[in-house]
Amino acid sequence: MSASAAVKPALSNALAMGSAALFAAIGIILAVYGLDLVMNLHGALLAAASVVALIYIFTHQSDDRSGYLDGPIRVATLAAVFWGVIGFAAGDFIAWQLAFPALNFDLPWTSFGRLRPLHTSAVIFAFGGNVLLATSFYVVQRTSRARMPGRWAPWFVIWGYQLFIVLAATGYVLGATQGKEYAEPEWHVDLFLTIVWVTYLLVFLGTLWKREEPHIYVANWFYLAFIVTVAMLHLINGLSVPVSVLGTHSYPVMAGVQAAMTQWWYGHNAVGFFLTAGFLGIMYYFVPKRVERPVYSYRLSIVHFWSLIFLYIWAGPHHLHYTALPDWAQTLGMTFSIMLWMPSWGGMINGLMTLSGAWDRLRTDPVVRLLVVSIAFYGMSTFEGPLMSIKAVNSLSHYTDWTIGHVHSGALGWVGMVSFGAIYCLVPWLWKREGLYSIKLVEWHFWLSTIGIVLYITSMWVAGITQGLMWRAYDNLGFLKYSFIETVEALHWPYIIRAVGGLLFVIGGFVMAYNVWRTVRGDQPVDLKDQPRVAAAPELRSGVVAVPAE
Amino acid sequence: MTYQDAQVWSQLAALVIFVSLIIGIGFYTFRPANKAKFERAARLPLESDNDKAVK
Repeated sequence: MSASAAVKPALSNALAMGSAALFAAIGIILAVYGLDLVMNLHGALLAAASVVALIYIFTHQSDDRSGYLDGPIRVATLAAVFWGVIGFAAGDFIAWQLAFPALNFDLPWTSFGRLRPLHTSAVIFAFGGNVLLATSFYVVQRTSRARMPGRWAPWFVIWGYQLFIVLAATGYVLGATQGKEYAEPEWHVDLFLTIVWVTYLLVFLGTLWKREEPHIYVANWFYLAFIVTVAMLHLINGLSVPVSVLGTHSYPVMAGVQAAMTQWWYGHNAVGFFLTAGFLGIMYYFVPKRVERPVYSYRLSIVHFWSLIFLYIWAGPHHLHYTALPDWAQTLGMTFSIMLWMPSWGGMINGLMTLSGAWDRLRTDPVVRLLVVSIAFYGMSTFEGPLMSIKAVNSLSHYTDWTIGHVHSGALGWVGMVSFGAIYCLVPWLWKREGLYSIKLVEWHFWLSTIGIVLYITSMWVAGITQGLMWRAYDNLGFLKYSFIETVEALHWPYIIRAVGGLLFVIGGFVMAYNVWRTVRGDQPVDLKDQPRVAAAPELRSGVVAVPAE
Repeated sequence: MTYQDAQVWSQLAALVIFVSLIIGIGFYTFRPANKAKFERAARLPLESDNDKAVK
């Protein structure tokens, strides 16, 4: 072993332990001297996590850097399943709260207002975020034919992100919030996430830097756009001044319409770059991989990428139609939203057509069905979104449950199902299994989710349009025809149907968790003969390389 | 320089930058010389998932 090879692990271990000690010290200071309960709790959590990390690093000094680094990916995959089930269940619980308000229990911690950000953050950032971390680390290593750099940095990204989730969630329930939708965590949690995120960017870029494959595969472009843009959005929308460095409370730098515009520039690009660009990276790797066919048109994928990122960044103002935002900005947001039809549908076509010559997989492999139906939902929700951004349509749809239905056709249909497909691919590949424990259970998961989503979005269309029409109904003397509470009463049954649909989706999530757990545990698959060759880990696949489709 | 001037010049600059970027991307995408490279790239997910390939 050369001198530099011996020094390198010692240096990375020392650096990691130094950082953990620093975090532990900050945590102890905040736990003891913090000005409010949330800061004390968050300080204690940070200190505890850092001490555990310090002990772990101290007792794991050996440094084997051969092959791909899959440990952090395994953790993120399990974390995605874990947080996913919690986030779906939280969402369904608040859906029942809307139908039966008594379920708020008259307690601040269990009120809809505090649990709703818990649900949105759990599903978007905890479930979706972990799926993105896992798949991006998997894809960038494979398509670059390079191991992730660093001994501890990838581990810090994964575990640091889990700590961020716990800090954010405990803050919401205890009432610490910036009050910005999808950007609720207070300033100290934002800062911690920034450190984790910059490390993530560096690990990702470092893998690309080390790559053996000359071309950077298109999925990595989408992942990189997602990582960079989310960093930019998070930093600018999070600009705030804390009242004290020892307290959670802060005031935003921007106010009024500037703050609103920045928030929705952030908010819509959270959809565009977190929930779309990142998951398109998943589509461009896992669909070809699972159906064993090349990308339908690589040229289309390049045009898809550039046009998508050029257009999405402008679409935010459509969240502020008929507000104090200048009219030209509203029209700009609407125009760019409509232009987004083209890249969205171009990408959808590219994903679907990748099945050319392998359409039979749709019948035989429920994992392919999850992936394909997710792309269909992507097409549907990216058709609906631009439609709703048209000012005339928005005057009916805005502030109604139609918006909620639209979001969920994208979130449950597109993001959820493409994630389930990716998780079902990843688990046997990462744990070196011959297949999933049960492909039959994937079939069940597929149908539970699909029926659940259909109930969800159809009931919300009915609810939203009913609500919108009742709000704008006048009698012949020019008075409003309905009081507000009458519009709420009208939503009772649609809310129940939505909650039932959500329940099916939650059950599907539990079915997935059970299947993943049995697969990870190493139980003999019950229906291996029904699973495609590609379900097995690469080293366990029999036969030859994929036959090219010409 | 008035606000009006700054607005006109910044908008012109943005127009030139974005239009040339889009033209550049179009050129890169449809250049016949890149065809073989993209056909190879389209198959990248199908290769190299073995540990042995990695350095």
